[in-house]
Amino acid sequence: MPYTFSSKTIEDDNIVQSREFDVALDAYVDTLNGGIDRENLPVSSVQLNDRAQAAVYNSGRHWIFGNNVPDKAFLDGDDIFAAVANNPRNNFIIGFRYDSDKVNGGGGVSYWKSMQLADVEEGMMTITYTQSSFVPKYWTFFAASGAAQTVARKNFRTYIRYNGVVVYVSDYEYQMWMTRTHTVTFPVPAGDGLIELGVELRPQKDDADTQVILSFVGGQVHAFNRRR
Amino acid sequence: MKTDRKVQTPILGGTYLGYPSPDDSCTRLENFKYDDQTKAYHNHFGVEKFFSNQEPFPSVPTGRVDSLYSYTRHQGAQQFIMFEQGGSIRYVNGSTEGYETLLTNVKPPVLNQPPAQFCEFGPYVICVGGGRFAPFKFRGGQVMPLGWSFKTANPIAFSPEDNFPLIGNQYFIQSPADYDQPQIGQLGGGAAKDLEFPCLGTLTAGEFNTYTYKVSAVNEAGSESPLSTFTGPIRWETVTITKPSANVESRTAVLLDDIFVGPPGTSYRKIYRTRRNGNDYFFCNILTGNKETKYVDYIGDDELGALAPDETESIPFPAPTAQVCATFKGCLFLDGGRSNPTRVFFSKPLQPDTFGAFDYFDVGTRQGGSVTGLYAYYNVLLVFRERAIDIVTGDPVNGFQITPFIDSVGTRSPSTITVIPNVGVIFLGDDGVYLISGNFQALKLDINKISGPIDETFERINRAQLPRCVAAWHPEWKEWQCYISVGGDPRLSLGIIYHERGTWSTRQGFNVSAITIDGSNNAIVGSDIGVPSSVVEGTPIGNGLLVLSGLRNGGYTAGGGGQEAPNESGPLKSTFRSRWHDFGYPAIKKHVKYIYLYLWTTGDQPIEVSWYRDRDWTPAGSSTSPATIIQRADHPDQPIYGKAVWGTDRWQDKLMTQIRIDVGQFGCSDFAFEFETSAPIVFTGYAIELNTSPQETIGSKRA
Repeated sequence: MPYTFSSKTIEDDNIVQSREFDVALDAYVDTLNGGIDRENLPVSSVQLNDRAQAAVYNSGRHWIFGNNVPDKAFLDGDDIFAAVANNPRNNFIIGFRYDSDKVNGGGGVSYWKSMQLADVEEGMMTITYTQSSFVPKYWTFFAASGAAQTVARKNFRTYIRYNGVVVYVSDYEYQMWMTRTHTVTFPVPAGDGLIELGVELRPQKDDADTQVILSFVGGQVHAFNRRR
Repeated sequence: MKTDRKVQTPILGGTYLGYPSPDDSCTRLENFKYDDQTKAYHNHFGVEKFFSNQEPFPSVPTGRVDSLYSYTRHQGAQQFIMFEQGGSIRYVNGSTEGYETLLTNVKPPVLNQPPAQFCEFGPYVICVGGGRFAPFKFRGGQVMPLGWSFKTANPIAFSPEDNFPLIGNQYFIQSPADYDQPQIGQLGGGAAKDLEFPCLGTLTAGEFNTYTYKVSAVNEAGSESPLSTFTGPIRWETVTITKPSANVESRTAVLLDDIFVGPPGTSYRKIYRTRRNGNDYFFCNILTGNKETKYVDYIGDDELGALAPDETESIPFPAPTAQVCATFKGCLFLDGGRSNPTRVFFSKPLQPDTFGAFDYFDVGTRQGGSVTGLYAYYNVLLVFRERAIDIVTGDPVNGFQITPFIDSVGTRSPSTITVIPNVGVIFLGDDGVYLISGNFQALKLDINKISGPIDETFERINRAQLPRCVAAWHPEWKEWQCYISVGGDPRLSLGIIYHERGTWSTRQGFNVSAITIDGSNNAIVGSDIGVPSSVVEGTPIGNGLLVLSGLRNGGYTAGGGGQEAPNESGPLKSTFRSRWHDFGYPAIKKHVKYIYLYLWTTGDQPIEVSWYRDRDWTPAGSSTSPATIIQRADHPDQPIYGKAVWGTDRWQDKLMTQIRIDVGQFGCSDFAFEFETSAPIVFTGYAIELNTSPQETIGSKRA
């Protein structure tokens, strides 16, 4: 309640009415006990020193995932580039391929990493997600002569989902080698929190199934929960 | 003294200015508030400053408050008291005890122009002002224009041929020859598959490629602007590009520049394009944000999305001078304002900014005047006109229909259209107050004039100022307060009050120019004095916002010197005048002996009662009682503030009592009494004791 205005007037020559007095006084007590908020606290009246840190935030935590690990179900090596004929140095690229189950030709959002929080408190959640990625683009990664596969330019978008609700969508990301930080702040209820990270890949077009179109180099996600 | 007759009005009704008057009525009930718990009228109310530790708020700007609205969000944790004053629209910042300005250069309303009107639409509060300012929407933090005020400007598209020589006879995107060569160490010959790149154009040399573009903007409310006009067609001929290894024909990309940057609140832009040499527009891509003005298009024809929306789906905002607004069935309804006074426009559902070309009604096909108000009630939208009321039914899926409801009754006072819980929609008409009631399905709507008891008041109303009248239902005081202008006064100097039990009273001395109910059920009012201080001590002052509260105070006066804090001007004067009593038969002369006032004890404040006879309110025929305090006559006085001794006297409760007023004997046909007091009083009813005599009214005077 932002304001409490006079509910009764106590003035001379009035009978000393207990109820009237209580009602008038209750307005002040109620404001002091439960009605103090930003509307009736003067600006800057509460300084950082006046409050305990623990009263403001609940938890800050981070989680790092490393380089892509070959995973036949999702992340896979690049068959074309890995061929000795095309890659005599035998560099190995692992990442998203169009033929993986979750990518399924691109165009949709694939949620591929998640972080579970068990004790989120009501308040605000800030998720900071730093990712380093490699987008093989057509001018650096082209099909070998005589091969049937072709490639096209690539981009992707990053999604952050919280308990099934998309809370962040990045702009299209074109940079070939890139480290980018995504930050989003939103209100959360108390309870469990599941943070999921996803990518939206461009739909497959004239591309080979078995080539890597996006490769994660590494990343870090940091969830910061300020309680109300 | 023995009396042979008595009449009693134990529970007083309300004001009735006609003849004959109901038994529980009175002829004047001014500055009283009704309390249903004690069935009493009392005067424990008044106005107080918005910030009690400040001068009248704000000290600048000055002038009357023209419009006022309270908008809350986050379960009331955040509240915006929006007010229009001195050519600006502002909201109160409680933390700084100041205000933030939302809009400047607002042309104040003239005396016969309604105040700004507000309605809520999802997270937004929408404000229209009859052309005095551009309609806007506000959701805290930022003011955004309502609707798309203009057709989006088209971007400039550059044909690949425009710069062809400048960039070395190459296209904007193509497979450069350097990459055609096999890399060092790589086995086999190299020839890029660049021909397959899905860009724009054909691979057939000598063929022409023609494309045009349109853009639109989409705002955070999900509303898409009207599509821009199309770009001049860009046209180029596919040519064979000479390369060291082999000549190739290549598709290419197209550069768009000067892409429209939307108004505040724009989330992204949408780009539409034709297929090669086609005429229909298809979704091409979105340009996120509202800053970038360049876009490189390399979307192939078969990658284009759905067909672009029809031009009639979203048109430039049709009601820039809208005067009234309402939200109904998820659509925003607006009148056409002065430029289209008989039209009612409605938005696409859940998109307050998107208006279709054919989404409007024109009520001008029937007599009744301009549209003056819109109000959603159950499942109909009431369309108020100057002298008629129409209703809109239906929904946006199956279409809206408009139907005439009543002729010859309308309103010019949009700010008085209010809903009273469980009663109906109440509004001020030209000649009184009307009530529309109905059931949930609105299968049966009734309209009744309910101001009959005080109709005499409306004979003095300033009709030119009807549009300025304001009203609100006070949910705690359980009364409908309507402030009107009478007797040529340019201010809304008279309040007419409709109490929850269906009775009327009046209120004077408040100087209200606007009213709203905030999230805590306080009535916030705007001061129409508009003078924050004065060097002349005692001058009435008031500016900005005041609050109706339990403080018994009618206003503020200057403390003098222009420096001292303002003084409270003291409690309002409350006046009660009984009805004229003829006690059943006017021709017989009556001798009234006693008046018993049914009061709740309040203390030692004095009260004087005057009485009148034979319908003559002049002092000539009246007498006044000695001052009487409101304590029980045959008991010890209840302790009062100022005299009670702490620890000795006991806390008290107010007690029902009868205060007897002795009336001087005289014969009369009709009898009435009044009291006028600034002392606190809780008044339930009264009784009159009298003797009758055989004396009758004498013969009439001969001509």
